[in-house]
This record gives sequence, C-alpha cells and structure tokens, in this order.
Amino acid sequence: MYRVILKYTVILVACMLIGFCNIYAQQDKYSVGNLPRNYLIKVKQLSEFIDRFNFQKDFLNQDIGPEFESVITRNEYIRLLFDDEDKRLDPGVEDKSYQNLIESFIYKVCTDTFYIDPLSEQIYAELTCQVSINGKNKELDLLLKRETDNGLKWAVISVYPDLKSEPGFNTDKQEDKNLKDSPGSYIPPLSNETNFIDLKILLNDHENLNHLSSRDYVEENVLGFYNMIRRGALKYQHVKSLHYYLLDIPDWMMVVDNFKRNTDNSGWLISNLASKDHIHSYFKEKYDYSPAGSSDKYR
Amino acid sequence: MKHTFLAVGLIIFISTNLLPQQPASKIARSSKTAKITDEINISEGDVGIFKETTEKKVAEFQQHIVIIADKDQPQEKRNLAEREALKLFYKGALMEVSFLTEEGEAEIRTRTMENYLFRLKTLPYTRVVIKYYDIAYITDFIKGPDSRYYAVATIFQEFTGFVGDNIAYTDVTQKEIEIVVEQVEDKFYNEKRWKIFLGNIKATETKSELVSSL
Repeated sequence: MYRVILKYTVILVACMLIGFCNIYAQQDKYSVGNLPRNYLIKVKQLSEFIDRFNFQKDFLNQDIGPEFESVITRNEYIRLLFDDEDKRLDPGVEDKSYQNLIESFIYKVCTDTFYIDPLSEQIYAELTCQVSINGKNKELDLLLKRETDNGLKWAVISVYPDLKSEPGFNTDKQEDKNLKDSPGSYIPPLSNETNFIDLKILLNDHENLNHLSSRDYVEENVLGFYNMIRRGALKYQHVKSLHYYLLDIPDWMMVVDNFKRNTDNSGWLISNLASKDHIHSYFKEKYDYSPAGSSDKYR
Repeated sequence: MKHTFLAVGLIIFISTNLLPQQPASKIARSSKTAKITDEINISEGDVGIFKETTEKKVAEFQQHIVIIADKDQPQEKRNLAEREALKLFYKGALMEVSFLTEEGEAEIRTRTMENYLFRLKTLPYTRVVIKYYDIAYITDFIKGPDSRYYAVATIFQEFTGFVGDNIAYTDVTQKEIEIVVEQVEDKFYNEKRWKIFLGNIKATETKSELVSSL
C-alpha cells in the first residue's frame, strides 16, 4: 500500500516538474523545478515535515489547494512521512502490529483533524554531541525543548550521562553577566534546522550559560554541565546526531530522524510511533525528566 | 478505478498548479497557543518583504560563490566577491560541513564564514563549476526572545572540480542557511528599519564522487 502511494506521488511530482520547468526554465538561472525529483520530495527540514503533516505545503513548498487535495489526500500524504524502509512495514511481515498502529494513528489524526503547531512547546530534540571531557573525546546527550519566552527558543532540559563521577563536579548556580534578552544569549528558535551550530558559540560563552536553560527550572545535572564548561574541563565540539520527539497529537509520540539516502523517501521522517507514556518513561529513566502532562507515576 | 481517478486528478492539477493558491489556515490552536502566536507572528506584508529580500540575498551569495571559486576570473574580482559575500552575513556566522570520509564515516567540520570563503578561493582544481538553484524550501519567520526574527532556507548546489579537462571531483550539497532579521536604527532618518542578514549554514553532501585522487 505504502509503495503504491509513493509510486503515484512520484508520477505526480514528475508531472508537476514538467509543467514548472516549461514556464520557468531560463538559460543562466536554475529554478527548483530543475532539481532531481528526489531532492524535491525529500523532507529537508523539520519545519517542512510539520508543513506536510499539517497538509499545508506541497512538494514545491506551495500552499496546498483543492487541486492538490483532489490528487492526494492528507491521509496518503502523512503516510509518505514514515520511513518506508522500516522492516515493520514490509507487506510480508508476520507481525502487523506496527502497521495497525500507523493506521489507527492516521485515522485519528485525519478524522479528528489534529495538527502540529509550528510554534509548539511539545517538541523535544535529543542531541548526541561530540565533546571532550578532561581531554578525552566522549559523546554526551543533551535533551532540549522548544519554549516560549517572549519569543520562541530552545532550552536545555537535561544531560546524559550526568557527569557526577567527573572530578570537580558541582551544581553551584552562577549568575549570568548579560541581560537575558540580549542578542546571542539563548538558542534561536530554528537553530535545530542548522544542526544547532549556535551551540558552538553559546557553550563557549562561559559567562552566559544559564540563558540556555528553561525559564522555569534547571536540573542539577545541567548546572553541573555548565560548571564543567566554566572550569574548562568540558569542551563542546558539535552535534553528531539529532532526534526529535513530537508530542502534539494527544496520546501519541512521533520520533523523527534524518534518513540520508538518495531516494524519494528521505530526509526527516517518522522512525517510530508509540504511545506518549513510552516517551515519558524514557525521559524519566534516562534524563530524570517528567514533561508537563505526564502521568503521576513518572513524576 | 483508482488509476482513472488519479490520472484525471493529475491532469487537473498540472493544468492549475502554477496559479497562486490561497494560504490554508487549518491549524487548530488552543487559546494559550493562539495568544503566543499573536505575540510572535508578524504581518503578511512584512513576511512578503522578508521573503523577497531573503531570496535576493541568497541568490547574491550564490553568485559570489561562483565568482570566488572560478579560477578564470581575475584575482581582484574574486577578492571583491569574497568581501561582498561576507557583508551579507552577521558577524561570527559559522559554516558546518558534514561529509563522508573515504572510509565511509560521517565527519563534521565547522569553520568561520571567512575561512570557508577563503578556502573556496584556494581549492586544488584548475577549474571549478558551481551550478545552483533557487530556494527549495524556506520556513516561516519566527520571533526569538531578542526580538529578532529567524527563518531557515534550503538550497542545493552542484559542484564540479576539474584538473585539466578531466572532472576530478563532483558533489551535490544541500545547504540550510539561517536568515536573521533585526531592527536597526537609521540615524539619518531617525527611524528603525528591518535589516536582513544571512547566518550560520549547515552544508551536507548528499552525493559525491571522487573521480580521480588528487
């Protein structure tokens, strides 16, 4: 079923491109319509994932209108956002539970008309970062959350591992030097789309690290992380990999990962779908963090 | 039956897909989120101007890149393009490049924009051809806590490096370019104006081929 839909989508986009190129092709300037098809279909950013999930933008980033809707339904469009190479989606697989789960999810989203708010605070990013701790190269996971604070920003929620065993670890809170709303003192709202390059600068500004945290609270392990940076014991390098957890749809959690391959089904796609309880217990166990709305057993 | 339906749908769609569409407003928000949205969103008119200026700045940046990398151009022209390209960015912008090593492992390197453009000028090829495209995707502009507005645009670039008449290296790179909009004070007119800068760039090689080792 998934492959049939994908096939028709491919035909659709190919036809769109022909129409587009005929009108806009110029000698020296290349319109996006000249791009290979898979680059257009690829989900290039998380924001594009949300636009497509909400059935707002087509493959050429144009607003979806009745013409597009008559060719492909929202139901079919959301199916294209799942990792098509997931073994659980093979037609011949015996255990159909994941396929059934997806059917139920799409049915609920489309019949109850659920959408992901582009400014949602229900989006989490889990970053696996390359760092050096006391001169040794290590990986460290950071959990970030989107948050409104007179604008939108990303806030550091928790760190894994918690670094307690590192020499000189302490959780003393130190005040920042700059005002909170000065430019470059927080993680910008779309920093995720550029692999959080901002952290390279922000985590080296030893005097303004607290701005990177949530407005409401700071976990002890985050204070310890900041203090290790201040002492020069921890040096941040870059983000190695990035996963998103989208909790906008009631009772459901989508994990979105970047699939780097030269196929139509590539870019930011759903790698897993589960109940919200699943992610609450994961956050609690790994990060000792309980998102708002999680049941008491995770608090 | 479904085939017929889709075929008819396709014909209708192809004949009309270039017409401007009315924006869909389907996001159902809670009152709390709606309030946040009101605080964050800017007017349609501002968005239109921001997007138009962004397209121009991104195209300008790409044109500069072509000149900087083109060894057939006079050195002074390439230096000028390098200086002009840097003026498009806010101070301190970084370029992060991720690529696969010969061993097939993903590697990430971060450079200042100055360093990236300088390296572009000194690539070990006798001739470089860069083919570029319009913006493939751009996000909405979103306000940050510092009152700046942010967006991110995706572009694709095809790079071919020649040694003599032979292609030595070719790749297709996807670039996410941060766009930063901030209000600056125009002291001459005594008013505040929006100014648009390019920011950090994430570059990812999506397909590369080393034709011969250099």
